[in-house]
Amino acid sequence: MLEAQPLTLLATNMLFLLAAALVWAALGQVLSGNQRPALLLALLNALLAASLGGNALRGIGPDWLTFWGANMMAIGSFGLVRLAVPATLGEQAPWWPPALVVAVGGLVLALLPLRSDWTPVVNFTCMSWLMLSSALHAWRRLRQRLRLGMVLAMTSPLFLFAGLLLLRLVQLLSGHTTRLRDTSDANVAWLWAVLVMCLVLNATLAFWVLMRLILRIRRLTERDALTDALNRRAFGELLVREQAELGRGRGHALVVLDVDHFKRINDNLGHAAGDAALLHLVQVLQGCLRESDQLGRLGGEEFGVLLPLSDQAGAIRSAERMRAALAAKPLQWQGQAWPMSASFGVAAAAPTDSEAEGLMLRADKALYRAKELGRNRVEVG
Amino acid sequence: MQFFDATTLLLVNAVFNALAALAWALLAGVFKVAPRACWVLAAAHLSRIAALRCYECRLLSPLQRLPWLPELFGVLTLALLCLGVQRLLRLQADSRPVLLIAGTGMLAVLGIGLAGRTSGMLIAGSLTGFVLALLICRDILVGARPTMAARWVLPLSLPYLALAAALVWRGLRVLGGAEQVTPALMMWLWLLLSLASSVSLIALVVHRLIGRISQLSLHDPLTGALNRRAINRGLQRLQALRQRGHPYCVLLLDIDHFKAINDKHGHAGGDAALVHTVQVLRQGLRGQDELGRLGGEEFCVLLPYTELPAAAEVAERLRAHLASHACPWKAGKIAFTASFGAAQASSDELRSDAVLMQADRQLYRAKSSGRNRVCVEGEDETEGRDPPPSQPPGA
Repeated sequence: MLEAQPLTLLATNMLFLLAAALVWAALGQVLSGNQRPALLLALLNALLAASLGGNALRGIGPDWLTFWGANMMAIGSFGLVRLAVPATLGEQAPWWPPALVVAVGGLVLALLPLRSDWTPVVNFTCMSWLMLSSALHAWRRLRQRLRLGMVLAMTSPLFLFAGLLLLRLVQLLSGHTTRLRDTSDANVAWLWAVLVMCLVLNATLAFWVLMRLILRIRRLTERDALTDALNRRAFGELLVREQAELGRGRGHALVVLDVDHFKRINDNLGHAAGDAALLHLVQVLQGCLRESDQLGRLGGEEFGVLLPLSDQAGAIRSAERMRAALAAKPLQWQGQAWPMSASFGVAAAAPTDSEAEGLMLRADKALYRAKELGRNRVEVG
Repeated sequence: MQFFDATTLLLVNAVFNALAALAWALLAGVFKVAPRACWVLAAAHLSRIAALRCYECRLLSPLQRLPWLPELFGVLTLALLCLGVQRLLRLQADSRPVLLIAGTGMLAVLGIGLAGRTSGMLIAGSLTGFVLALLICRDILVGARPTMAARWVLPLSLPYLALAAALVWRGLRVLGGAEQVTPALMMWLWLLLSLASSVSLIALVVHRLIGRISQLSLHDPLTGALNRRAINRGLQRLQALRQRGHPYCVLLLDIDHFKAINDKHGHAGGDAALVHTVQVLRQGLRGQDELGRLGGEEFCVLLPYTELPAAAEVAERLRAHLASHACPWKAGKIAFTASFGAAQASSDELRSDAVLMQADRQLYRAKSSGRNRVCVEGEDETEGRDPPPSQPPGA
């Protein structure tokens, strides 16, 4: 007779894992361009479910499947966790380190007798190692981009899972036996923990995927589709923010520029060349800017550069650098070089500007003067 | 079925719903995805925990001894799910019918339950739940169908259809005076339904996010017209059809004296004029025509399966429409016109860029010969097609 309560927990956990596998597989169909993590996650959930099922059938099914097979599937699914974590974060990570761990684990398990007391030890060593390294990897990568609290919230489920596996390993080393169908309180507690952790692990990775989708949406709303520079609205909001900081003694400057005779490029070489010219311009400008400087496309062929912590002299130097770089690098279009230049208007923020509009207006006027005075030059407003 | 333990199934279901409620609350509070819908759905999952019930369980909270309480929470759960789904799908549906049905059902459950007639109460609860589950089904079918493939919509509404069926089944059993069903089996059923309904909700959220992304990456945020990238894609598609003998035309139009509008009414006035232009142009176009903003005040219309004479007529109609409909702005109006250039794509041109350049030449001609007019490729330069040149726009 099988024991009801552990079996119920095992069956529900398998149900959840299979449902998760199904959802990830469907997501993989829908998320074009982001399929790899979803398919890895579908596979790892299915493997984990199969491993639990195999484990539950110990003593009923053939030994090689319920012992060696179930252990291998468990290690394999955690190897997939190690692959899915970087993939979900949008990185290319080499596949061979986790594969090596799985292969070595599989080899050791194959050399041990099937029902040996040491097989669970090997099993849990591999699993906790893979989980811990996944958690550490996620921690390192996310720490580069996010605040500490956010990183803690996003990676703690992975560390918790790794801790749980390590706890189990310690238990095993101190002589406990593991039988998932055992009705002891300790085993029921372990099964509950596994159930909750499987749900939480899937939810965590789903939130990572979701966060990337949201970041993509934010990027689309803030950036110009062609050049990837900030769009007019986002750039305007940035100016307003900087203007508000001005009262605290942080000066900033604005450079506005307009490509000279842009219409000629469009008319002579076609719209595709016009687009290429704008991309070329942005590339050249980015090369002249500091990390904290912000480039925005104000419309058509007009761009703005916000220089935080900068005065008028510094802004003129920056604008002159950009002008010279652009004049020195002609646009390459279908094998021929097309010279490009731009006119620049510079203005430093003044507390007398009641709003960001004032600064923009002065820079605009300077740009207009640069155009009047013969183009390809920098003027100050 | 004696292999399975009803109490454990109930607890697993409760834990699952608690985690789901937490996830929805996170979505609403931290990620700010559809916050109103997500808060409602978090509440629905919490309410479902209170609705779980098992007669033969070893574990009964004191509240569960009141037979009508889980039933009330069951109806509440479905009402909240219904409201949440409506908000998630951005249906402009009236929430009053849902509240009315749920309110009536809850009153009936409470009244009959307090009178001590358990079977009558269960039937009232089942009936209300059945209606609400069907409403959710309808909302998903109606709300998701326009933007989602049929092979996704049907599976998404299936969990609620199954829920409706399960409630009918339960009601019929009570009517027939049957004994309680094996609890473990019932518990499995409710767990499966919980899981399936959550999966369906997750799919709806993902659908909403992906819809937003494709909307943003293919449309101009200000006017909602297609952006440059989408127009280029449309041109390539039409050029491919052109190779197989289907003609198409391109209209380019540019608002006349747009700078004067910007200078006089400010950037906000200029933006309003652009939005107004798209609205007016849309009214004069067929469903298969595509309208895009190329940048600044320049727009593009793709007319599939259209020869040049018909395209010239469309352009003339759009021009007249735009000239006679001023843009409402603050207390007054901004009147403005636009110049049009029309061109038909030739089949021997492989690049879709060429037709755009032809249309651009015609637009340039329209501008230089006095604005507020349509110029068509191959037409005599001196031929007057349009009314005399317009005045610069005034308020």
